[in-house]
Amino acid sequence: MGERKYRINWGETIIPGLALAFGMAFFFQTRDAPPTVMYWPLIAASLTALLGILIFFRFIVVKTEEPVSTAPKGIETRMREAKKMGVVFLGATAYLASLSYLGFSICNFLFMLAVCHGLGGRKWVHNVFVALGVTVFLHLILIVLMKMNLPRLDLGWLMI
Amino acid sequence: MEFPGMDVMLSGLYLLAQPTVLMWLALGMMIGLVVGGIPGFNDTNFLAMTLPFTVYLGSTNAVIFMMACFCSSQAAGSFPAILLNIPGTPSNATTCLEGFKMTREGRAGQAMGISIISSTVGGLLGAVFALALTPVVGVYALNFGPAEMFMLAVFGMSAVGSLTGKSVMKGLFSSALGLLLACVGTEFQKGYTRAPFGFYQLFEGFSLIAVLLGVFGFAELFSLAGEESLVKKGRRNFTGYGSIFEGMRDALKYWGNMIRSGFIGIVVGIIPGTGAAIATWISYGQAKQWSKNPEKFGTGCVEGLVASDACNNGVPGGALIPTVTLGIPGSGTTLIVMAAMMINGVTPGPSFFNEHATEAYAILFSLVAANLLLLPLGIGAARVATNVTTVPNHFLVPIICLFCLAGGFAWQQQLFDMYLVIIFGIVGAIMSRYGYSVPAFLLSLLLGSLAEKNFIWAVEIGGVSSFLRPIALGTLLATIAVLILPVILKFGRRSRG
Repeated sequence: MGERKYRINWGETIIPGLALAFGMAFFFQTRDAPPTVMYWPLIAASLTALLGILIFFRFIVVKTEEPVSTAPKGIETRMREAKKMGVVFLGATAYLASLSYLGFSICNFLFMLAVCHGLGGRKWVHNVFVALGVTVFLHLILIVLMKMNLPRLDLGWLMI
Repeated sequence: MEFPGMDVMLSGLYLLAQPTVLMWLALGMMIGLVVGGIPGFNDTNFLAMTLPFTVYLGSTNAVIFMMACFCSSQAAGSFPAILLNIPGTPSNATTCLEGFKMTREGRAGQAMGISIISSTVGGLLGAVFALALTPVVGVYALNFGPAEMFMLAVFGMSAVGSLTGKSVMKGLFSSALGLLLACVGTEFQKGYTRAPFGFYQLFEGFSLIAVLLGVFGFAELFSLAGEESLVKKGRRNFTGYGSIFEGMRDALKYWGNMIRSGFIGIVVGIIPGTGAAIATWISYGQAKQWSKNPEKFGTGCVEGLVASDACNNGVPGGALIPTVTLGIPGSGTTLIVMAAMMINGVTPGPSFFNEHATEAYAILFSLVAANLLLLPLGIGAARVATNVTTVPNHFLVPIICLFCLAGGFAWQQQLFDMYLVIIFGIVGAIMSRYGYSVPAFLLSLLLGSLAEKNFIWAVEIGGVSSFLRPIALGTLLATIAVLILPVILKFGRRSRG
């Protein structure tokens, strides 16, 4: 039997940490607010803080023999999964960053193509076919049918 | 007090009979059958994605479309559970226990038949109860003042918080966090804008749709991306229509079990925050207790499958009652249905039946129609649904992602909301991973301003004593009971070993 020690479960700190950061930013932003409009946020923040403290002692600082681990999978599997999650996240971020410059439809096509390949779609013909199909479908539904004001690339003779 | 008359009911029925409305009903049913059949991608995720587009449908069409989708996806969730041992929705876990065993024995068709007929009967029961109870609850709900509304909001948030997270503490923390986020934006007393963080887009608070799409749709992508396919293994041994009808006949022998299970679904559905997943386990347990052959449960038992699926489809009817009459959604899906109503300028709540009686009846009748349609559509869909589960994730993930981002943009037509989808997608994924309750977080974000407004009004109008009026006090006691319930259940489970 190993010695039972208090250890910190770092994964569990993310959500309470985000809540703490948000709370601090919120009250910093509203430092000049009239007191009457801050009663309710104070109630909500107090409740969050109280429950956060309870979570700290119940889930974050835990007494165990082994270092706290929440992922039972192997390191290789985790890395592979993390890589694919990264593809989705980076793909979505790049998509948003380029939307204003390239327009909705071109971004859709490139995003589909890149993410399909990044997630393991090795056959380019299939990827192009699916990307084109989805792009045309979304263009017809959102821009032509629903007349949404999505960013479009103006080629002079054509808006896509 | 006056209950809505027969003429209002008939005008509701007439509204439902309009070709456009029927078209949305049928479309919702068909989409729900496909969506419910995709494991891990449930109706809540899909409806969250369609939410921004419902602004083009109008409140009645939007709600009818969503409820039809809800009903059929609950039923279709059983298909992959039976054929592949993968629950399409969390509430289909009990279906796996019996259905997949039947498939292994070469009785897949029979299991599908049992599932379809049980879902139809359970759903019809739920619809009839909703039709009968909703106007009554609605009339009594008019007695609700600010104190009662505040207590109801607190009850909803506490119930969802305490029953939907992996731990009560984390569930309640999720509720409190949602409440804190709801404080962002212009408040109603003095028009002061609280913490917009320099973004004019936050003057009216966080866009509910962007947050919804993020925490449900986008967050799901992170887990889907890591998998090669939605379906890893399992085999299909569907044996044709004859066995489906045979299964239906077998299921109808257990009509008592079917009605009891449907009723359990309705009752649990009415309680905010519980949902079909909890209901089906209660129903399955009850069926085992009442059965003459409890030892057969878990070995491909017809009774177990009947209990699971009848209860599963009783839930939508029950969940609709508090959503429409009190503005308290009974589940994650009805939360989105409620959001669709609010987007279209209709606020569900005590006055809903007075102000929109015809639309309300059209919605309730649509639930009956949806469950009647479920039988033929379900039989037809049984053959094709499994093919959707074989779409590789490298195609499915970017498609879902694009729908989430485009949906985020659609509501307010601003790119800022697309960024919110990604941010809340990450937050949602982390919350799910560490057992925080996403429905509780969302419900608090949705009800936060309502709770604040009613709390301030109640204190200013009647003082603290207004919280001691019978309904408010009763709701407070119910809130306390809901908070204590998980602790009692935990001790009960421990004492049973």
